[in-house]
Parts: sequence; structure tokens; C-alpha cells
Amino acid sequence: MDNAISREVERVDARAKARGETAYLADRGFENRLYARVVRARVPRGTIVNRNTPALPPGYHYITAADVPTGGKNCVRMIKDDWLVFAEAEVRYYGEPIGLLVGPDRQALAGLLEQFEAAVEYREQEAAVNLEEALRCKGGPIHGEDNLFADLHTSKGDPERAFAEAARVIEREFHTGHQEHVYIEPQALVGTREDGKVTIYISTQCPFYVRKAVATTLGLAAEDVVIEQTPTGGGFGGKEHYPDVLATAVAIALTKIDRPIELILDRMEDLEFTSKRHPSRVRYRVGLDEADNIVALDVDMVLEAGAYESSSRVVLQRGMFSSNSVYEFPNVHVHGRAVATNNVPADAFRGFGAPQGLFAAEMLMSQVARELGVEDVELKQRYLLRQGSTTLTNGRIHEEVKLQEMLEHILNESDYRRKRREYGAGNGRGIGISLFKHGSAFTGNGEPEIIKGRVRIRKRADGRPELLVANVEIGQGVLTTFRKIVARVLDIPYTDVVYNNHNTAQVPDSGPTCASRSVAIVGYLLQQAAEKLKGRLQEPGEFEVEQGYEHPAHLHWDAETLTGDAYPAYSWGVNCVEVEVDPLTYEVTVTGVWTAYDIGRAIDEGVVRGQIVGGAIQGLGYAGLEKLQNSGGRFLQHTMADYCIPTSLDFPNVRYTLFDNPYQYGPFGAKGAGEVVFDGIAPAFGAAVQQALDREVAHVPLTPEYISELTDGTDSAFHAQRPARTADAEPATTAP
Amino acid sequence: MRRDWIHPRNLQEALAVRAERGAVPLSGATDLLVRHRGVAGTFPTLDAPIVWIGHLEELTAVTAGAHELRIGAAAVYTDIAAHPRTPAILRQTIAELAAPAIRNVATVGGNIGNASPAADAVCTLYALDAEVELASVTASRRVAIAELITGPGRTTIGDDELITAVYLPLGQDEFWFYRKVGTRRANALSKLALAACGRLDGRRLADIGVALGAVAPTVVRSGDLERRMRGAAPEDIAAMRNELISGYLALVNPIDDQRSTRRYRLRVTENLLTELFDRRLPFSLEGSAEHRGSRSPQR
Repeated sequence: MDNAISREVERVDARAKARGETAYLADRGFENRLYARVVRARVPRGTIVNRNTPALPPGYHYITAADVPTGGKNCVRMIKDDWLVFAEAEVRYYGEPIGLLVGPDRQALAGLLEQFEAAVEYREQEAAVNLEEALRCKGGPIHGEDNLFADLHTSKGDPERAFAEAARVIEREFHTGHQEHVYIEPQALVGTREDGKVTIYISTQCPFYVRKAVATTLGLAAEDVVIEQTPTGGGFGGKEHYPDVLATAVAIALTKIDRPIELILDRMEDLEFTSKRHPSRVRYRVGLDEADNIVALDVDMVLEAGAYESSSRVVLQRGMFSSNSVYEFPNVHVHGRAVATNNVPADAFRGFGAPQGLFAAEMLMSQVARELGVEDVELKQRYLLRQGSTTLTNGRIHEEVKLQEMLEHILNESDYRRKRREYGAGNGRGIGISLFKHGSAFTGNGEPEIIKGRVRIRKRADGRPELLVANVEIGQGVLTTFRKIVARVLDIPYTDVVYNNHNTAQVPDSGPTCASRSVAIVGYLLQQAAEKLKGRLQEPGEFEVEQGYEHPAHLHWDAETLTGDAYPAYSWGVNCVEVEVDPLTYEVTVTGVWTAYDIGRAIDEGVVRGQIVGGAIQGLGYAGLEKLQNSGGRFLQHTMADYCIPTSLDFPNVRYTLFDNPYQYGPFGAKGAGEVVFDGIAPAFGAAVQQALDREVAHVPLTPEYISELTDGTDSAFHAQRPARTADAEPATTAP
Repeated sequence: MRRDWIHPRNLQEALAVRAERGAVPLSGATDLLVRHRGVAGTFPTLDAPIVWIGHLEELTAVTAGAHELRIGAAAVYTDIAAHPRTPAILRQTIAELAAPAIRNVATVGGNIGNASPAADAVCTLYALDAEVELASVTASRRVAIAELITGPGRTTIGDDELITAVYLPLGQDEFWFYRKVGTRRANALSKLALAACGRLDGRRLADIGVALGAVAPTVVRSGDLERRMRGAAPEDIAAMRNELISGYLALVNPIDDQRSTRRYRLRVTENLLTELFDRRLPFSLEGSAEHRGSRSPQR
């Protein structure tokens, strides 16, 4: 196999999107439509004593849990059924939906919404709004007896004995914060009835998740619900499960109202009330022998899950399995907990637990190196995973690992060693390196046991192949990469491949668009299906070929004990970030970003470049800018002016190098690329700032306020430091 | 068009609807409609009629006289920055203010009337000794900007008055230092800001204005401390720097909010004052022409 497939082609959706011609849901007119607004609770925790439901003008409807049809269920089926469509008596977070107002005029609905929300009387309870409060069960448990949605362990070797025999133990604690997805298009759907079936047009990553949720809520067979994905303006995980929450509410309304209902969240509503990235606290104990070799690792990871479980158990697993980064230690124990709080539920977000685990693990290694007095790159190199290594879940690294080669490349390209030496410690400049991996596809037995993806390719009467898959474009380029995979097998132009059907009644369930699985898993199914079609495009008429997922025989997983191969394969990365910290304002200027990735083989280098640059910038936002502070159960930042994501002026160009390393079970050798490009940025940034300040960095976001506190009242060299640019008054300027 | 959104033909008509109906002036709408916005598909909720003023030529011109620059209240920031006589410190402030799309429609009059203590240009206008011209159907008056703004969102603008112009004395920026600390590099609101500018008389400071933004209910300026600096040579500034810094810090009272913390704002204000009095100002007094002006680090 050569890598000709990696050559960049024009993305099929690029022109229409760049010209503003793509019709998103809000751009589409639905005849006779009504509008919906979500009525939300105004306490973070409590019991509804009296709804005091106000009178409705004619033509308006108020839908609540009481309207769930017989046979249905007031729940949003994700992994568990605990998340309610509408709160009944108990309220678990500020903004929890308690009803849905539906009517023809948006101005009138806005007035009604205020009336309905203000009318509700609550008996308030003491809320637990961060993970420390939740671990203490402040105000009594929200969930079960201990607030734990998940309480998991995995171990390798004999960590207990290793710690008992260790010559010394180093301990550290790390924290990461909430993060909002800020997809450009807010959550949006229109529900209607077509041919007697509940039909939902929706901005989503996972049409079949929406179908499962709506069918469960209404008590219908899945086939009696039809979901069609509309052009989706970004997801980042925020449209993996959250659309189910809104779709089930509208679906209940459709049992009472025989008109199309549009529910599109306003930006501020979306920012405040949709799911977020899980905040984390990770505590480590590192056991060392007499020669300062790391012989044992003990990890205590807590993720803040918010009010309902959603996918927290699985996010936690990925976080746990990332908590040793890319290093092989003989004895490891990981304890993971997902804890309930009175906040908006946390859910999927690009990286899915891995960024939290990797930030902690990479910062840990750099701090252990500081304490041992060795360069952190030298320390990290001693423990790199390689082909045949045993993972912390006692699985194997099956592929060739090119980390050493990638690391050397980045060290040279960034001139890391010279800069690291010359910048010294605490002089306002720093450079940091992170190494990391991201497992492609669902964790553990997710692909063979839960998803069981299937794809079909239809040979149309006109001779063109049409892809029938459930995976959707969310800006990541799959409309282009899937076409390229099939076109290359069939030796036809990629533009001849038809791929425009995103309707659950017409395509098989190839699984959700998430988990770095679309190209790696579904792309491979398409390649296999296309092989069956090879040489048959000239046959008359219309027919289909199908391919289902087959788990590679060498992979084993025990879901009870969390042992075995947690992922079929990994994508690998090395990131380097260089910074200057302003000694007057503690603002961080990023002066360089160098990245190297092994994603198997790029299906399209343009698409991959988009992922790399976007992932790095989003990662830098996570690392340094994006802050959500909770105050009494609400975020203080609920506008785009206060929740600051990066602009194009904030960070420099991102350099990247791809290391070709074809994967046997990926299409033309490809593995996942959507998440690994986010995972490693925060720890590289953290390590760079750590050098600039000569202070240990323990959490992100690493805001100027946090840096100010880190350097407050200390004898850090940084304190007296003035970077070159303020050493001399600058010339009188004329504004550019 | 809604009937309570009024489109006058000239300033006199605008002043008349202001007096008769208490109409609120609207031009770029970058503050007013953001504050009163509803969700998509709904009108902003305003309890007064709107009078459009952005098209009135009497209000959009920027003109330089012998000693002062007159900036029409409805002049947009892009046009103000483009005028050749606009002081360099104001041009730099505008370059860091919001984003190009906002600078193309946002007006200086609206910024003053909105009276936010975090407004970037307002802070610099304080340092530049700006005066604000107000007019009603029957009268016109000029008032120092610090007299006009009395608190967050509060001004002494009369119920029948409109801001018509801002006047800046020319030549006040022989020396200048401006530093905005925002939430990010562009299109950011200020966590705090410092604007300082003045005139030089050889090695001595003829005049200086120092303004601190977003660290108190209004922009902070001290006539007392500025008087003490007048006539100072670099060694005098060095001798006074402790009392200057502590004098200014005694006047600020920042808050914890969604953008930053009191602790951070205090510490960075102190750092910027230290930079001003220990480095920027002495360098300017000692230095050649090329050392006179300075800006935020190039981004």
C-alpha cells in the first residue's frame, strides 16, 4: 500500500460552507411550525412544591412529565435511564427542564417562559456543586448512598508490595476544569410527523442514539421513529448524547400537538445548560527504588459527573486508562470514581476522559523529573511503551510504536534541548513536551458487543456507489474521507461516490460519530464492503453489499475486571509548546507549537491538518483561557464575552508532522485522528509555563490569575524578571 | 419599522424627540441592543422609544482645530483611528478595542453614555482630558468626562440631552503608555487597563494624565497625584514613586467577577504603575524622541 490516498483533495462540503450556502436547521422553513422553549428549574437542588401553572393563551401548550404516553418512560435513554426528560418532584441542577412551552409566536413564548419559571415554588436543599463537596455528600447524597455513579479499579502487577518495598514515594495532585464545546451551531431540532411516524430533523453526531432515546421515551419500536441528521455546525462530543435530551422533550410534545415543533437553543442557553467536559481531580503516588527507577504507580482519579450519569462511567474508564500516559510501569493500581453533583451533567467532549488523565500523567512525570533532578524528556524516555508492552489493563501494545522517532523529530524541529537549557528556570520563558496516545474506537468490548456496526453500499442504477452509513459530517471531514476510501477501492473519482443519506429509516446503524472511530472502524467496514463491489459497478440494476464489524481475533477484553485490550489500536502524539509569561500581567504568549502524530495513515492530509490545527487551538483554550466558575450551582460565565475561546490572534501557527505507520485493521492503514490532536496540548503548555515560572503547575486552565497566585510572595527568579521586550521603552508608535 | 423607532432628518429633530418622548439614542447598537436583546426571533425589550442618530452628519465628523480635536458623538472607532490628528494613545487603544466589525459601527458617544468602568476608550479619554459636549433643543454645554460619568451606567446626561461631541486637547501625548489587560488577545473585555500620557518640558514633566480602568466603579484619575508630578524630573519621579504607587492603589477598589479577581487586578495594577513610574516615564524624560511613546507589547 502506498500513501497516495493521503494527498489532499477539495472537501466536498467546503465551498457551500465557506459561501454560507449550507442550510442548517435554522435556515430551513417548516410549514406551519410551532416554536418550543424549555422551562427550567431555578434552584440547583430541591423539590418542586407547587408549579402554580399559569393559564395559557389559546394556541399555546405546556408539556410536562405528565404527558409521557402510556408505555413510554420519562427518561432519556443513553447508557443508563437516570436522566429525566422533565423533572418530576426532585430538581438536581439549576436549569433542569421541568416542562416545554410550545406555541406560534416567539415573543409571546419568551413572556410565558418568564411567567412559568417564576411561578414554581421549591423547597430548596443544600447543593453540592463541586467534586469535593460531592465526595463529602454535602446536603446528603444526590445519587445512591455515596454519590458515586461509578467506582472502578484496575491493576497490574503487585502495586501493594511494590509500594511496601519502595525506597521513596512522591505524591502529587492535579485538577482540570469544566469546558464548553462552543460548536458554532447551537443545539437544534424540528420534530414532526411524516407518514404517521415521529420524525425528527436534528443537528447531531448520532442519529441512532436519538432514535433509541425517543423510542424509549414514547414506548415505540425503534423502527417507528425516524431521525434525520441535518448539516451540523460542529459537535466536539456536545452533540453525542445531548440532542437526545431535547429530542425526547419535543417527542413527548408531538404526542399532543400535530404540527412541526422547532426547538433551537439560544447561544446563552446552550452555553449555560448543555453538557460540559468533566472536571477532574487526580492524585498520584509514585514508588521509586533505590536507583530512582519508577517501580509503582497508584492513581486516584475522580471525575465530576454532574447531576446524571450519562456516559460518565465510560469517560471515567478512558480517563483511568490514560492515567499512565505512554509509559510502562511494572506495578499500577488505578481507582476511578465518577461523582454526582448539582451541576449540569458532564458528558462527551473531544478526548472523552483522556485529556484529564494525560494532563495529570504528563505533569506528574515532569514534576517527578524536577524532584529527581533529571530532564523530564530523559525520564520519560526510560519508560516508553513499545510493541509488545503490557498496558495497565494487562493488554498488549500490538502495533509498532514510533514514539522515540517522533520525539527526536520534535526535539530537533523545536530546538527543544537548547531552549530548555538557555531559558533556565523562572526567567519568564519556557518550553514543554508531552507524549501521549489515544485509543481508536470504543473502549473495551464496545465495538463487538454494543455497537456491532454495519454498513451498506448500494450500487445504483446509474452505476454510482451510494454509501449507507449512520456516521455524519460534523466538520471533521467524513463526507470527504469516506468517499475517498470507497473511490480508491473501486478506482473511480471520489466525487462519483454518493453519500447524502443521513436518515435512520434508510441507512444501517454503523454506530455513533465519536470516539475517533468513524474512519478507523466504519471506514474499514466501507473499505471491506467496497472490495465486495469491486468489478461489479457495470452490472445492471440496483443492488447492495453489506459489511458488519468483526473484532480482530487477537483482541481480548473482560468488562467485569477491566482487563485486556482496552482499545484495538492507538494513535500516538508528541507535542511541544513554547511560551513567554509577561512579568507585569502574567499573560502567557505562546511562541511556538510543534506537533507529531502517528495516526496510522492519513486518509486526507487536508482533513487531518484541519483536525491538528483545530485540536491544538481548542487544547490551548482548555489549557489557558477557558474557565467556567461555579457559584451556587450556576456558572458565572454564561456569555461568549466572558467564556473566552481563542481567536486567530491568540496562538501562532501550529506545525505538524505525520509519521506513516499503517494499521492492519484500518482503511488503507488509518487510525483515529479526531481526539489525539487535542489530548496532549494542555500538559505541553503546562510544562512550558512551569519552566517559565520555576513553579509546579497543578491545574488547568492556567489563567493569568492562577499564575499570579503561583508566583505571589515567592522568591521565584520570575518575580524580578523582565523580558527583553520591556527592557527598553519602545519607540513612539503609530497605530497599525 | 416599529413606530417607536424614530429616524430623524437632522440633529434638531433628534433633540426634539429626545425631549418630548425621552427617546434613547441608537447608532452602532453594540452595547444597547446586546443589553436588551431577546432570544432569536424576538425584538429587544426597551422601555423607551429609540432615536437613530448614526446617519446624522452633524454627529459623525472628526475635525481638528488649532488646539483641539472634535470627535462627533456618532463617529465610529474605525474613522476615529484613521484621522491623522487622533492622538497616538487613542489610536493604540482603538487598535486593541473589541474587533474590527465592532469598531466599524461602535461610536465614542455610545461608549461614554454606556458609562462602563471597563470601557477601553473611555479610560484613555480620561487620561487625555477629554471634554464631552451635550446639547438639548435649547442649550449646549461642555463638561469634563470625569464630571459626566458618576458610576457604572450612571451619568449626569439630562433627560432632554444628547451627547454631540468629544473634545480632546492636542499635544497631550508627547509621552504615553497604554496597557490593556483583556481576557484574550482580541475581541476581549478588559480585566483592567492603564492609560497615561502627558507633555514634556525638556527633562521635566509639563503635564500628565494617568487613568486606571476597570478597577473601581468609574475610571480612576487623581488630580492631586498628577499635580505633584508636574515639573518633575526623573530623579523626582524616583523619589516619589512609592507614594505615587501607594497613592493610586488607595484609590482603586476592584472586584471579583466573571472575568478576573480583585487580587489579580490589584497586583497587576501595582505592576503597571511600577512599570510606569520606574521605567516608562523616566525613560521618556531622559530619552530622545524615539523613547517618548510606548504601547502594549506587540501581539
